[in-house]
Amino acid sequence: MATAQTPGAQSAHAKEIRDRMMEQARVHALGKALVSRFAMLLKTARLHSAQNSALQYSVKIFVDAANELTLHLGDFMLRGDQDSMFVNDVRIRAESIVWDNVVIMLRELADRQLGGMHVKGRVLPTHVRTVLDLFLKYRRLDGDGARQMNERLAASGVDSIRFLPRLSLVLEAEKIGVQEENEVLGAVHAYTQMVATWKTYLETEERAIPEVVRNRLLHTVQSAVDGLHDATEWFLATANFRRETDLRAVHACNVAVLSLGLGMRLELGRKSLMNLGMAALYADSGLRRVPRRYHVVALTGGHPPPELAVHPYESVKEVLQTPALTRAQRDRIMVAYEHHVGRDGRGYPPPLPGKGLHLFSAIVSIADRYVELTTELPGVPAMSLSRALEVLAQEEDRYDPRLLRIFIHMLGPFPVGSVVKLATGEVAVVVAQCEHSELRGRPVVRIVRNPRGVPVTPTDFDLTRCDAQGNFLTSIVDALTPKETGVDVVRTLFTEARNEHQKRKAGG
Amino acid sequence: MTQLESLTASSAQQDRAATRTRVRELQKLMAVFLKAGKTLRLYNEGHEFFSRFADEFETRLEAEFEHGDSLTLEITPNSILWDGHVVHENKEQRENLAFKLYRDGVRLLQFREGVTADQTRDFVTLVAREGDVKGSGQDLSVLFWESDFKHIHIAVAETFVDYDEEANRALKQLESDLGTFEKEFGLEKRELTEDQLEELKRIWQGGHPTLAGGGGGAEGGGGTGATKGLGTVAAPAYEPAALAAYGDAELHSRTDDRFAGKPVFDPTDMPALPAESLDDLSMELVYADLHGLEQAYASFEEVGGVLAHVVEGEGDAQELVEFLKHLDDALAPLLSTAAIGPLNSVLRRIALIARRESEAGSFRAEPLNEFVRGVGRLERLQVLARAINEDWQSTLRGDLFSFVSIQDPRGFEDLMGFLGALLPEEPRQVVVDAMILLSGRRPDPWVGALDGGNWHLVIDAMEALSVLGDVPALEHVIPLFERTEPQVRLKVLEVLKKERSARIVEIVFRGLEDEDSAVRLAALRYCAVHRLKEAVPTLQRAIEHRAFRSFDFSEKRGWHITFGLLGGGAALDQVKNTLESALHNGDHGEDVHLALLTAKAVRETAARAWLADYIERASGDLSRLARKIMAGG
Repeated sequence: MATAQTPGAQSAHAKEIRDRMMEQARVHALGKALVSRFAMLLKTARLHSAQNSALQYSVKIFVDAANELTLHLGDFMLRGDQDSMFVNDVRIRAESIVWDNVVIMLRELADRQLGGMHVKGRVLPTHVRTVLDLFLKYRRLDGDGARQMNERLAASGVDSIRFLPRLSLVLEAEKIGVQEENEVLGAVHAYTQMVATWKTYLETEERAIPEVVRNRLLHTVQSAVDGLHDATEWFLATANFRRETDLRAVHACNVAVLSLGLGMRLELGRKSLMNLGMAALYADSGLRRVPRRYHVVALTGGHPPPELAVHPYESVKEVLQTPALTRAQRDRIMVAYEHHVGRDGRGYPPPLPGKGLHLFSAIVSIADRYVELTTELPGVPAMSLSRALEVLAQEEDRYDPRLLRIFIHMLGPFPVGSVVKLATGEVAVVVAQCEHSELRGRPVVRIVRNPRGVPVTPTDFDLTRCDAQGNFLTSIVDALTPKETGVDVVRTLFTEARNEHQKRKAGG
Repeated sequence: MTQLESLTASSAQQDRAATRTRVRELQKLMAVFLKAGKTLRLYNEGHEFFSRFADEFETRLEAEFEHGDSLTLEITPNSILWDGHVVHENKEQRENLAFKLYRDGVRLLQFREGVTADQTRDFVTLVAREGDVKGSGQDLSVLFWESDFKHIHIAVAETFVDYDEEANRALKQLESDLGTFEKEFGLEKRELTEDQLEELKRIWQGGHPTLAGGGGGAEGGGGTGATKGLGTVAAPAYEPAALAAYGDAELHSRTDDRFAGKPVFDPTDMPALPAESLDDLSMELVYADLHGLEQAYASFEEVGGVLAHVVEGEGDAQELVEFLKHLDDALAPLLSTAAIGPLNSVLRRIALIARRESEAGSFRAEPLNEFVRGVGRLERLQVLARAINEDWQSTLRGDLFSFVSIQDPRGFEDLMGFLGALLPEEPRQVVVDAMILLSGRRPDPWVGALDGGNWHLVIDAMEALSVLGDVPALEHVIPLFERTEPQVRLKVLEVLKKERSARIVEIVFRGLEDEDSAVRLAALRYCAVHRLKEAVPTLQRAIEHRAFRSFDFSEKRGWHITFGLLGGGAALDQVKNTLESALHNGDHGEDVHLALLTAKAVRETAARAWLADYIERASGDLSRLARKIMAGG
């Protein structure tokens, strides 16, 4: 039932809405100007040069728009995302005239493996010309384009603009065809966006993470929680993404995904899940300050090298960059510190005396270990998902036994994304759990290799199928790793999801 | 030879001939493919020469699908095979097409019916341009995967381990002559030299006739093009091997009701996991008892512990400063909301570390002390004072005491400012107590505060000096009786109530004539406690003064009691008349009441006897009043 509002309150509410709309419209208009002018500048600069006076007018408009936005928002990100450009989270609506410029901008960014620009200070005309120079000079760059371009920007003394990296996972998702068309692909989209933002976070050169990045992170975790609610099993399946090039970002996001799954099993509310997701991400934020070569080292006897062992401390420092000690912040601090501490007091850093682990820490430590075990590290091959669960069960003293059981129950003995060998010799990927308790070892699998190991058209097979006497047609006889079999799990899982979706769409 | 044998031989002969023809066709197909690639080395994709080769490749490929719905080629280090027959070979050059594919893990290459012109062009371009992306670490198998060709498929090395040894050998050889690697499809030479132009013309002229002579497909048709690997899966959907043994037999799902209760023989190799974690019923019990796993927000105590660990673990001074700066900002909201308990949880630990590090002479001491000092700087404390003034609760006494006592003693001045900004009495008292402790019970900081303009602060300083009991320091209090604020004058008398000196007596006497009632009462009390008999005339004058009538009763009471106490028998004589009159006229009003109080205060035996007799004589309301007063009323 609607509650009665006083005229004053109504008018204040209306004003708030109006102000918000005006603000969005303003950001949108300025963003549109930026995109249009940049595309125009590039075209003109190619004809003449970035220093040509013909560019003067457009440079001025670009500079004015950028500085107006900086004044208005503090700092902002102009970023490309699939088929749209955004200023922070405001999408530039592409009308007929702007559309071409959006496409040009997206292509130019993609060619250089850039995700966009982060404008964080007063932009000068010389800065814009330097950026144009770089775009003219480097027509194509590999996956590290943002770093290369940023180095050159810094060398040229441009400190107001930095390029954002384009994430290979996003590219991968684009290949799979992920768009927010249905909840399954929406979950993947939410996941890839989370990874992209987290990667931006980790790769931010400045000591202080810009507000805009932190806000975006919060936004993506919100989407992730939505994804979790909309399509839980698929969202959890996104934790199968493993990209060596983005390992740091992917690891944290996979831990967040699985932690959220476990949190949902504990019936945590939406806000708590948000806090849990953020805490899980921030747990490894300190890696930003640890030399890269230590990020992927395998632990020997559970002990990390000293350079890595400090990362919980560094993570606490990262969390405190948002200077507050709110409840959410306190949760993040605890998880940052405790996510490698075992329930039995082992692990690192030293546990706090006289207290058990924070609930979120206990959750994240299980998820973190699981992801670690299933990730290929130098000198240590990844385990199969089932084997990783076995190891977790063997290490039970380190975890809360109830949480561990819930985690295993959630994923099942053969988690979605497991590569398994069937009694027939075929290799398959688990795509759905069997809901019958006594048949948990009989998921639906997608066969991807025939008995001779040759790739085949992916075909789903329900392992609960049996003959008239109840004898199973085939069974899982071994759990394998993607590397052993050459199976691309993510593609197997999500390409089919995409295809099925498209089929349904075409049919209906 | 029998007819059957003859027919069989003839058929075999025909098959061999068809195969030979097919092999020739495929060799031409590969040759065109190579030419297309070579052309691309010199021209871009839009060039006419490339288009011609690409078109020819597409035409030839299409012709291949007359023999079957797919064409599968096997890749070895030096050759490309179809059905075991070599269709492309180059043993001389390590950089040949076969090796390039082989090196990048491609073991089978399959073209399926339906492949479009665009796909074939993209495919040729991709193989030819593969050198472009070498720097990125991607190989052809990855590029294939990324390109997602609908009708061109590859099988990668992992499934063909038997080639691994050979591949390793080949790779070792390759290491010696990597310099020549990009020749066949490399793009390093984009400029067209005269020689290259000639070569291109030659290729083109030489290639064209093959188009004219390439129509021999009709004589073949025996092969399916699917003899190895991928060839067997050209069908639109894969038939799982498990279904093969059951043919058309009716199949079920073990989840059907018909199997309910029947024992399951399950050969699945289940991972060794806790049994209950795989059993829904057992898990219900786990879910039902999550006691202790309810979400509990991290307490400030816990967070304080973590932050202390971080501080202690920090090995870099600059980093420590940076961290403490953020922590300082984080604590600000706690100050502004008077969340002193949470604040202490953090600050207490840091202050402790600061002291320990100071003693040890560590590099951490300075930034930590600065941090503690920063939290206690005046502007911060004023924010806290405002919050306390708005909403003070007695439960905060302990927290406030701790907060002040862990401050840096060097910030005493700021704390004094804090004290001055506090309004409620109780927190001020707490702060004074804590500051006394913090200052090491030294009076001098308090003496210094006596000169301030803030009378609140002056009063607190006097209170501190009173608690410290430092007599010489109390001498500094006496001049404050000159201040205009009655609260100060009152406090002066309260603070000095235990001391006695001529200067003090002098101000007490002045106090008896003070304009403020509370000050007068304090002076009266002093006179009574210290038995200042010399005050009796003053007392008598005051009581007899006309203005005395306007005093409120409680003050009058004070005056009369003091008068009785100090005046003795003389004082009793003063009030006897009033009391005797009352016996006759039954008066039991204020004057009689005050007279009885005076009489009662006289400590002499005779006076007490008289009073006892008086009470006996009194009757009615007077008697009740007298008895009440004697009983302490």
